[in-house]
Amino acid sequence: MDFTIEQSGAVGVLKVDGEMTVQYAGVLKAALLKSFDSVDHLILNLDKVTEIDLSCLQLLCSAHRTSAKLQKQLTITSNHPEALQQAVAAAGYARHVGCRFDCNKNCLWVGGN
Amino acid sequence: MSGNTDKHKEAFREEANELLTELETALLELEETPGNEELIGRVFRAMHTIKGSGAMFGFDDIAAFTHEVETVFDLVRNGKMVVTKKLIDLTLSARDQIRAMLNPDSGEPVDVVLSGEIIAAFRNFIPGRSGEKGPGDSPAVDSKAQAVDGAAAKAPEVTYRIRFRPVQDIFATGTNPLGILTEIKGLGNSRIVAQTRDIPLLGEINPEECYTYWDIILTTNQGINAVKDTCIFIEDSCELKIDVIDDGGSLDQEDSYKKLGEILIERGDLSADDLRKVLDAQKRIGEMLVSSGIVGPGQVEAALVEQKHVKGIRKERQASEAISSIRVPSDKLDRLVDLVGELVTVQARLSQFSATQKEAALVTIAEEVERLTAELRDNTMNIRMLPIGTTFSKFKRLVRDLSNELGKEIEMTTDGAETELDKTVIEKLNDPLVHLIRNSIDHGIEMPEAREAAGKPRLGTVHLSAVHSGAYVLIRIKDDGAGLDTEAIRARAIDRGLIAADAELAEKDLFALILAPGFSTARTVTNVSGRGVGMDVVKQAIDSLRGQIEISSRKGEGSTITLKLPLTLAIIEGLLVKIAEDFFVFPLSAVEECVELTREDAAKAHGRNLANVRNRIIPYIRLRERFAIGGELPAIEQIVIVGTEGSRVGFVVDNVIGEHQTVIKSLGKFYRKVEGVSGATILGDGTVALILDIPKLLKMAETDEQISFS
Repeated sequence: MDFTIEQSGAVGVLKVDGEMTVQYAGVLKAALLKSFDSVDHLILNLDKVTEIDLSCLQLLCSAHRTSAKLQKQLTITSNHPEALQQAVAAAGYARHVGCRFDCNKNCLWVGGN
Repeated sequence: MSGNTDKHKEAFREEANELLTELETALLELEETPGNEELIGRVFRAMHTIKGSGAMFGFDDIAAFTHEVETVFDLVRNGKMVVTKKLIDLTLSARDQIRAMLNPDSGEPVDVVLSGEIIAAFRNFIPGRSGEKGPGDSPAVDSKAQAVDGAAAKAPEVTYRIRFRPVQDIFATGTNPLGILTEIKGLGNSRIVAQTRDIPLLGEINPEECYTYWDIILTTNQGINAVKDTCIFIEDSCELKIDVIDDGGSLDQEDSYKKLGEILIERGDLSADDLRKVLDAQKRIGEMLVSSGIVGPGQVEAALVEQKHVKGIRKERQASEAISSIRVPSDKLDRLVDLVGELVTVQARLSQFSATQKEAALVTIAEEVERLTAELRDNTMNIRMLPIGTTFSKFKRLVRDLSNELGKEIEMTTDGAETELDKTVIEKLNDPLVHLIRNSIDHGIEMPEAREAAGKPRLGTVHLSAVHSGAYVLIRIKDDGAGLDTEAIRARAIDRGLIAADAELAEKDLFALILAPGFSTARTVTNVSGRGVGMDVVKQAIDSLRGQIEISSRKGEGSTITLKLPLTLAIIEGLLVKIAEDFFVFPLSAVEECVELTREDAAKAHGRNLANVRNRIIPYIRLRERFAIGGELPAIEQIVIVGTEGSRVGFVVDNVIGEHQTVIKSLGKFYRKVEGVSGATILGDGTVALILDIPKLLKMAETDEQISFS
């Protein structure tokens, strides 16, 4: 897994490339933490992600909660959302209402399949 | 235990026999429309079920044998092979072989060599497998696997609530919990809700630990052990809690499934007190619980999913129960009919007794019982009714095989397959129909060339139809073949001494001659028919069913044979008569009218048994003489006139008592050879009345006449 961070003002884009799996979870966590330090709105671009496992789903969930706590914004974008959709379906992450941290009603797992 | 196994084996036999019939029908239809996927599916499923349940009940030979057929049809089903005539032929013979293996007691021993040949032939169909295995070795491992499969198919569907919580360091062991979820999903219909409440913020999260646990609702027929097995390798590193929340029906007492709050309490996510507190707030329970912070949205989600899932499967199950039927062994049904018969008899006694007592209350009760008994009788008779279509489909195969064998092109069409007949009648009808259809194919329908020369289509038709007509069912076998050759019949009958050389016979009577014993006009004896035993056997069988045969034919255009059969054999409408102190019953359907016979009338006939009824001469038979009953003749006797095979004949009795619901009882082995009576019935007061066998009585009278003439 590789990633790049681009920042313009308060908005940062974290592009991830390759497999988002447990081996890289530590690196990803560090990158997310670092991004939240410097931006108000983090856009996570998963265009080139081929696989996502449970550990990284947890990280995404955690990142969203963190953003809510810090009153920052987290957006996930992807023009190939299959990998993410697959992981969400396999792990049973999809739901109808967000968790208690989800004060802005933008839970990653609400809606969709 | 062994008795139980036998019972199961018997159940399997019954089911398999039905499947084989279904299989045959599907195959014959498939031959006409080889691309029909639904039919291919039906064939495959039939084979699959026979194999699976066969292995389960210890019919290992059948399981191994069927395996090969199933393999081939699996290929067909997946579009890797096409249906050919050769494949149909082979599958039909495989079907026959399975039937032979299934019923080892009836018929010949199973031809093991033939089994081997069929298996080898099927293997040749499988691309890249031809000759790879000898015919002798059986896929034992596979049949075992199928046994599990088969058992599963029978097990009821149970719904489980599963909480799966792996230990936090599960990733370190190299296990992917999602793999286990996938396995669980594979067991059946499931909903999975991940509980993410414990996932900490980025600052605290250890990305290599698992914070998620799952609530899973699974409906499966694989049993709880299959669920446990999915976690067998991480048993020590996960918490697995399985509760049965729906056991496939017996828990369905309430109309709807548990309320959300109840589910949460049951799961231990909520206490009853908290629920009550929250309920007072009058909002939707899910929202209330979440906003009050007692349970997380994840738990509510899981509970909602459970509710929806269970409601869904129950709805589905109710829908399927609404159309379901139950399988009852036919001997239980026979027993029921016997009991109803006894009840009808007792009811007759009650009616008779109440009539003599002149007690209003008793009469009312007796009438009520009479009404209910009649309804019960009709309903019970109705249960025994089966559509004749099952027999018809059997004949499709017969026609196909025979026409192939004889090189003729014949199509069989049917009509009225839904017509219902008593089970016993249908069973006894099979052999006569086989004979008649064979005759049509062998003697009736010409070779294709001959048909073309006669200006008929090459394809001959045998039409089998069934239709209700009053208390009878008319079954017609109609062919468009050469028709009966009246001259040949006459010549043959004279040759056999059945008629005098100069006898003038109506066409109808001439045709009736072919029903005589030892009559066959076919010049060459073929494999199919022509042994000259056919038609008289048919006649006997139809007589024993109290039915009639009618033959009509036009030379060059074909012939039609009509069988007129009673709807049921268990209870008939009878006409009760009395001679001296003895009672007899005429089947009411045969009776046309009753007239008086005075001494003067009898004297006018000058000793001949002839009566003048509305200026027509009717011969009669004195039953008093026939049954050698002594005693004084009454001044006025009664003649019961019956119509049989186009003529009217009278039977003289002392008294006609009236209509009688006749429950037919067999006379038992000892009296089987007694001629002129077909059975007996018990009257209201316990007296036995004999049921008259009209055709037999007539025949006996004719024979006597001939003897006295010669």
